[in-house]
Amino acid sequence: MKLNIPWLLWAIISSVYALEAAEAISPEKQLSTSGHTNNWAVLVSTSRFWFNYRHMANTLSLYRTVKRLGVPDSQIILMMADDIACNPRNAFPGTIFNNMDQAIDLYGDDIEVDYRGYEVTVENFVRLLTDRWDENQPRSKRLLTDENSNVFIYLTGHGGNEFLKFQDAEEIGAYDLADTFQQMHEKKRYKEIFFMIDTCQANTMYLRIYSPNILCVGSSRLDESSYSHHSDMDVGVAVIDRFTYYTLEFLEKIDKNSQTTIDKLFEEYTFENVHSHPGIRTDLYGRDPATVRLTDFFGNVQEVTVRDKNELLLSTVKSTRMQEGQLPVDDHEILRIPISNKGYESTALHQVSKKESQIIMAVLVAFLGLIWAVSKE
Amino acid sequence: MSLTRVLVAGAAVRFLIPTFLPHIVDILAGTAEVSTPIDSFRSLQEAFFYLDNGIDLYDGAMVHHPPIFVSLMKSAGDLAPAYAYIIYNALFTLVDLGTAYKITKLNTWYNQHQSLRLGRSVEGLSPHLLAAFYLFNPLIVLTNWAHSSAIFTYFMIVELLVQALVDHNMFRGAIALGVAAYLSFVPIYLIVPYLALVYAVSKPRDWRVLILKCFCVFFFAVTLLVLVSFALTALPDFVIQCYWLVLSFQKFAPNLGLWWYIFTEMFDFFNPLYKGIFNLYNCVFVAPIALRFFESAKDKKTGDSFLAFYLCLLWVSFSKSYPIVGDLGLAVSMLPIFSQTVIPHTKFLFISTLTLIVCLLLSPIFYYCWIVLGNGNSNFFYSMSLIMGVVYIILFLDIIWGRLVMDYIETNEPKDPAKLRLTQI
Amino acid sequence: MALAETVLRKVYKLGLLPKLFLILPRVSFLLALASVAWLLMLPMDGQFRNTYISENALMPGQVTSYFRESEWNYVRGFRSEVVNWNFSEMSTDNELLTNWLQDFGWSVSKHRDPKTNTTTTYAIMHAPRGDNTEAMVLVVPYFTSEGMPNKGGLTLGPALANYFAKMSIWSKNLILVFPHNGHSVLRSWVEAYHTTLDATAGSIDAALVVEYPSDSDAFGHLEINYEGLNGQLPNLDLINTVTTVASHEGIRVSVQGMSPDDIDKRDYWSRLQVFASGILRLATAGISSKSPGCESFSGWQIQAITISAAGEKGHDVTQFGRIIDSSFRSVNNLLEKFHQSFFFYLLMSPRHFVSIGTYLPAAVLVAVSFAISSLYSLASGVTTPEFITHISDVLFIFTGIEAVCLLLSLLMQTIVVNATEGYTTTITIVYGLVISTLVTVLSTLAGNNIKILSKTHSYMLLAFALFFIAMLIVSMLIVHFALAFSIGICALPLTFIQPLINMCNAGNGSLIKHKLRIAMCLLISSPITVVVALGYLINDGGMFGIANFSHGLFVSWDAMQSWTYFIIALGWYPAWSAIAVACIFGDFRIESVKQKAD
Repeated sequence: MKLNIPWLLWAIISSVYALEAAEAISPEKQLSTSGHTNNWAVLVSTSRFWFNYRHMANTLSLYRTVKRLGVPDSQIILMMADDIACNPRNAFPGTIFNNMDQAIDLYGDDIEVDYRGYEVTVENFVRLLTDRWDENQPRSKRLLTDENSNVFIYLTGHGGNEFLKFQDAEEIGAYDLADTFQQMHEKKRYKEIFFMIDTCQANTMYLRIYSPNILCVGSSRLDESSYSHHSDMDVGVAVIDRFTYYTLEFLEKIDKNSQTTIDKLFEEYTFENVHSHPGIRTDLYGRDPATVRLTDFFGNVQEVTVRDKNELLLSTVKSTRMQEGQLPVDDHEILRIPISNKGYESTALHQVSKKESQIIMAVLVAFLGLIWAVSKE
Repeated sequence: MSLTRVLVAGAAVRFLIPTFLPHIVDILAGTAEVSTPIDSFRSLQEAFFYLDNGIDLYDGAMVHHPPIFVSLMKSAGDLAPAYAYIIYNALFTLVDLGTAYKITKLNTWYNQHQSLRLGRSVEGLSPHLLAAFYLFNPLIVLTNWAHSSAIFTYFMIVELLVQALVDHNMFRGAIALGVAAYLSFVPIYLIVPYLALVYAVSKPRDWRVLILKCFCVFFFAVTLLVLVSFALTALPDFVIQCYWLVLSFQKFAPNLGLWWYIFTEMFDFFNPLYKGIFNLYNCVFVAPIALRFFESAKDKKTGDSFLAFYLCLLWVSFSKSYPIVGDLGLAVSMLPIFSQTVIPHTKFLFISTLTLIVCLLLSPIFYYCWIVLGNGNSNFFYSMSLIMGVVYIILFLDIIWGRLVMDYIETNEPKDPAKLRLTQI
Repeated sequence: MALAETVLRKVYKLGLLPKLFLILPRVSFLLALASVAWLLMLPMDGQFRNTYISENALMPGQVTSYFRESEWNYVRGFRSEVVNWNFSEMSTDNELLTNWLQDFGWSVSKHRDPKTNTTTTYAIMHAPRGDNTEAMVLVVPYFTSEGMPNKGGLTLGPALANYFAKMSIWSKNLILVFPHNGHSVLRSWVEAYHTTLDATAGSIDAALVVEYPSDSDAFGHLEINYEGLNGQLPNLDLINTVTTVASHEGIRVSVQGMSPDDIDKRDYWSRLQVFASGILRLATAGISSKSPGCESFSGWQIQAITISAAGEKGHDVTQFGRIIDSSFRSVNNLLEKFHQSFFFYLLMSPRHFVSIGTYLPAAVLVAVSFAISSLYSLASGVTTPEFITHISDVLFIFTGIEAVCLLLSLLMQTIVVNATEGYTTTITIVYGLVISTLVTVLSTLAGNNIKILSKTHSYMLLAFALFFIAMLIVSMLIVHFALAFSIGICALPLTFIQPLINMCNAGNGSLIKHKLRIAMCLLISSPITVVVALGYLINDGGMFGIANFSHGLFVSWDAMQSWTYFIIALGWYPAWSAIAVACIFGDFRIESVKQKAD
């Protein structure tokens, strides 16, 4: 119930705003700016296997949308098992559809999966968000955000009360997630986060978050399942979840220059549509959703201020890096491990032959026998 | 005469059946209840193959038998390679006969000893019954047919008692204990009740001579064996494969023990805790038991160091990492030694026998359901492991309680012991 | 332990033991009654559960099957050929079928079974995009379990082969098998597949046996048979899948041969009927020659059921094909073997079941009932020291009886299996057995002259035999509930013998009446009586049914590797014989009991 109160409050407020907007001549006045300079998206499908087709479709649909709205591939981190398109059970090999009309092949576009198969783990997800990697982690697989980044994080899969399963093997808890966000905050890795999650009991996942400037949306509340929207009878599986379906239906109407605010998206999340109670959490978020453009998260529209470069500062940075020896390693230096093609090689210090072993045994038996005979108190 | 007949019959069962049905050894050696990785005849044969082909014994972590044992067994088999299996049948038969014979000697000694201490004649069961209890104990027969190396350990355990008690030669006993510990590690914990026993039965109780010397002999026996093993294999691997494996529960093969399930079904990060606790559990009760039942020189009516040794053996087989039915079999076969002291005061022997029968019937069936048919799961089989644990615990508590009741009767001499009802408070 | 101690003290204090001893027979009987009552209670509302798909991956009925319109023409084309076949000839060598399958791209192989002297044709389609490690099997026997030519089945077989080959969605290989029948021929193929055959396609996850005897386009409803050998059942998810798929097609499903009128009945009696029939069929699986085929797959971790088309009109033949297609697509969705859901269950209807935890107590109660009777016999005439000194003798006697039974059972089995005239031999043997049973039973009436066994031995032998049955039931509790429970109930009169003997001893009522009662108890609890009665009653038997059933029992190990014969011959029969021996040669003198009581 707790969840519902802010939502209701927000609904009232937003309707008031809507009324005001209708009265107002220029709605632009009410739009607020986040002041971010770059947009990132982290899209994760945490499940695998053929029957979870819809989760892959959910994620790829969002991927397509953020790309369409201008976020470049280099700023999208896509995590998914990716075992659907080329699954032998797929009647349409190499494709993933999010609708039974099969109008859009989500896999057909140029897609870049950053973490696939068994790389989709809790550890990788947390490392990705907090950017704690060893030096060999390629830049394309890192979330290179700064304190001016707006990050859209989308999770889908199978969840429960305050946990989300990662590929049947492990799970992330709501507290882990909250701490991860806090660490991102401490490391100044974001300006604002829009956290969207579509799983069963999704709302429980954002309850524990305590870091500022995070707007959260979930598909269903505690003890509630999230449902799939429809099945494709030719593919033989459900192709998309309800929550994501209505999110997409709305986002399809948005283009790069849209001024639509995020509360309009929230209005789509009715029980009639989603068949569960979506939750929205705004208490951590500084701005009023009714004044936030969708493109603040989904697009790549920023206000950039160009200032004079401070050459002096740049040169000092360079020189300190040189001193610390952080220059890239010479590429030609490749370690070669010798591979032996000999047969079996014993690691023993010396080889005991059969004869020797028999001699040792004989000596031992004789010796033991001697002790045996002698040991008579 | 009668004892001879029992021995011959027992030998026939052990020798003829695996000789005419050689498959039985192979089948039983692969059965979870009678054979575990550390004592399986299959891995011993694997070891023979390694020796023949000049491969390090402990490469590949398949062999967990100590090197001297492997070499000796190999030499025995090499006497007539074509008839090796008959040689092994004969060898295992002989060892079991020896154990049975020694148990009868222990029985005689124990009853004499108790007669002396209690000041009245204690008539035990006749030797041929004792031998029959060991030789026709189905648990032991199965273990023997499986050619489990535990048979040698059993012999050594009984032998060390005979040496210390019957022959009054505690140094030989210590050596025998060293060999037993070398063969299968777990008997190492028996050094505590052994020292207590030796100290209790010797006439002049000089602890420096007895305990220190005895311990030193034991220590040197073990060291010698380990050093020779090292000389034989030229690698320290055997320590890891034979002994560390026992301590670290590395082989997750299902068995009748209590612990394997925990390691297969629980989260990995608990493992160090479990390993520590289970090992502690394995040895921690040894000293208290040895102390509680120590035969004091002054009070001749209470205490029973031999029983303490027996209880420690029971406890160690209950809580060890790779138990087989033979471990319980040895304990059950030695139980009739106490026929006039503890057993009259036990109450749950009937119940524990029934439980044991049900457990032995169902455990292979559940294993079959789980592994072959696929319609059961590991919980089925583990439930039987738990029941086996229950059997151990009932037996263990029953014997302790029986001895305490006896102590009470001996010290307080109630008028009608049959109507005496003692209880714990 | 302390609690047990307290209880023991209370028991001693109140002198409960002697009182308890007197009511033991009643307790034993009450437990047996409770066990039956328990089972009778299960079909009541609220005691059973609705089936559900446990494995998410299956998704039955979520896919459109295109085995319609155009495929219908194929079906008709194949049928026009099939109806002209001489099935008994074609079943061994069917060139035409082989050519068809090869044309569709299946690789065809043959398996020759030396035992039945038949050749089984089977075809493999390797999944084009699969990883080639798992397979699904479609079995089309030439003759159905009723002995009818499987015309519709052999029409659907090639039509589906053609249709399956056109699809690229398979992740598991497909195998089509055309055995002569679903009994020993199919069993030998399954065994050969896992041992000797060269052309294989990985481990088999699921198998469907198809029976469609009519050559018409229409059928009424679907019948599912699912019992496996030795108490094994297919994973409940497979039955659920087929049931769900059929209901999506609007086809009604019946189990245990429910008539179409009864399918929609949702009352206690119809559920009880299905339930009881399920126990009986499971207990006798592998014995009847009218084997539905699915049982041939038991023991290899294969989930198998038989689906047969029954009735005249309502649905058309392609719908039957669509059920197969859609079920296969569901199994195809699996990532590994069936492992969720239930392996031990009893159905009340296609959509209602009870799982093992619910029905197991019934068999436990029977086992306890026998154990208590055994205790009663022991307490009636044996003291602890006697017990210890005589136990080895009793074990020896029982082992002797067991050895005789083993020899006899092997002998009878070998004779019947190798006889040229199996049925005649069986009838002779059955006559012999029935006469020997009657003689045994009558000789208990005869007199008290032959007293070979001592008093202790007689009591202990009786007690041990009852204990043996208790342990037999316990060991089969989980693996083969149906047989364990059936044996328990059939052998129950054996527990009345000791109370009757004690009544004789006490001199209550006339001696001859008690003797007659003991004889009756022995007669009705004899496995031979039960086998004869079952043969007479089930599968519209009569005298011919007895011969059929007994023959099936004798050859069941050889043909199907069913243990039932040995469980009866080495479990139930020796126990019965031991009790009979105790009754005939035993000495249950009255004085000793009285002296003890004093």
